[in-house]
Amino acid sequence: MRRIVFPAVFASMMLLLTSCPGGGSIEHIDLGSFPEQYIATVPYADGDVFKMQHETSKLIIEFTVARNRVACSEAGYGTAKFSPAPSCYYDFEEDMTVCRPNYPLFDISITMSNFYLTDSVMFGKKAHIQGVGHASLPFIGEDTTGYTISDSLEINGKIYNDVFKLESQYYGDEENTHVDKYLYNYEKGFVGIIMSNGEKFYLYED
Amino acid sequence: MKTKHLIIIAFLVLLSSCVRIEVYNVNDDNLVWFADSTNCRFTMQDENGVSQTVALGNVGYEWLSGSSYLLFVPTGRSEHEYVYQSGFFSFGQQFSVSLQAYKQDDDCDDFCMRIGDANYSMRIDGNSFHPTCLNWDNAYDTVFTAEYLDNFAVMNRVYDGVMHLELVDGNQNDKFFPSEIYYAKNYGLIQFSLNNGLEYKRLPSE
Repeated sequence: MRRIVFPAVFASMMLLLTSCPGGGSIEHIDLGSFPEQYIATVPYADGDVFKMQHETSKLIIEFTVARNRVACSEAGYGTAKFSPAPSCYYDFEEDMTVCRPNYPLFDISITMSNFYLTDSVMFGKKAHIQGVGHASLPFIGEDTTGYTISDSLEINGKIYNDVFKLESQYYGDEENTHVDKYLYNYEKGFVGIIMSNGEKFYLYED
Repeated sequence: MKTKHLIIIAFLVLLSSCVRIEVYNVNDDNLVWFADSTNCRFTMQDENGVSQTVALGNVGYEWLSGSSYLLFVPTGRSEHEYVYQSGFFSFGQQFSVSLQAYKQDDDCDDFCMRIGDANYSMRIDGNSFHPTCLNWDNAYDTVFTAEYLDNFAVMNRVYDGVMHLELVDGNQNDKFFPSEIYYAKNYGLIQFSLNNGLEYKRLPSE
């Protein structure tokens, strides 16, 4: 009798488990391509080169840009935010820009994603800048409330308009050298990087 | 037949009860090659005035175990003392030094310095260095010379007891590969240069 009862109980348990909500296939929500209207938030194209100059030594550093779009997938938890199991997956596109220096400095990346536009994440309509410390930048045409913007800024004899002064968040030890502010506008991209130790790098245009 | 089995089991039990444990300690005289807790954070500045912080953790101690076997029965065990100190440059490069006890009744220890992608490994006995070309973590082959200097001045400060490492054959194609290093007792890194000739010097602490 036992030989029949135990497998039967085990099999019915398994059936019960697989019929539980969430035990089946998880829905994939396709968010499509990254919206074209926001592409111009980052003015760089793949292969572009821009120059930054160290303020005191006048050293010129070239940054080469690599930009591409990557298909991504991220778990979504819906309203059950503390649930260990995802309720769905979001399929989306990431627009990734990496500026790599020809000098032993640090890479700066800008990530834009339509995943950030969903309700399930808090980032909103912003691009994310990561160097030594990170900052956020509103997508072009979106709300800029709360950001410090200079109407015009003179750098190396050139005037740049509507320059964001983006405060960098650094989670390491504050005493470590890190980026304090990124100066950025939608036309040129980075026009300045101000370090926590007071060193400055400004856009250099021939 | 049963008696034979019993004899074998008894023999194996006897063998395993005779496990020899050897403990290898790091030579205390070699511990001077770690930075004091007061010298764990310092600033390195390159010749263009671009500077970054180096933040090291305190010296850590561990025991690395090894065993020898005969017919799957442990017959010997060794415990090697392992002392290390590691951290990062603020622009992301890794920096670490470690000592591992080599032999009993021997003042030599295995010393390894890692800076960025370069590993400099040698057997060390106080002020005497013997490069071993060990190449851990599958990093680049590093063939180098090592010498002891009674003192060396960097930025108008004289450091006593300095290790001078110079690359003979390494990753020549990488212009940012560290090729010459000056490293002082109780202070740590004081100067280094890259394959492209760029030199970094430690700023005297205030």
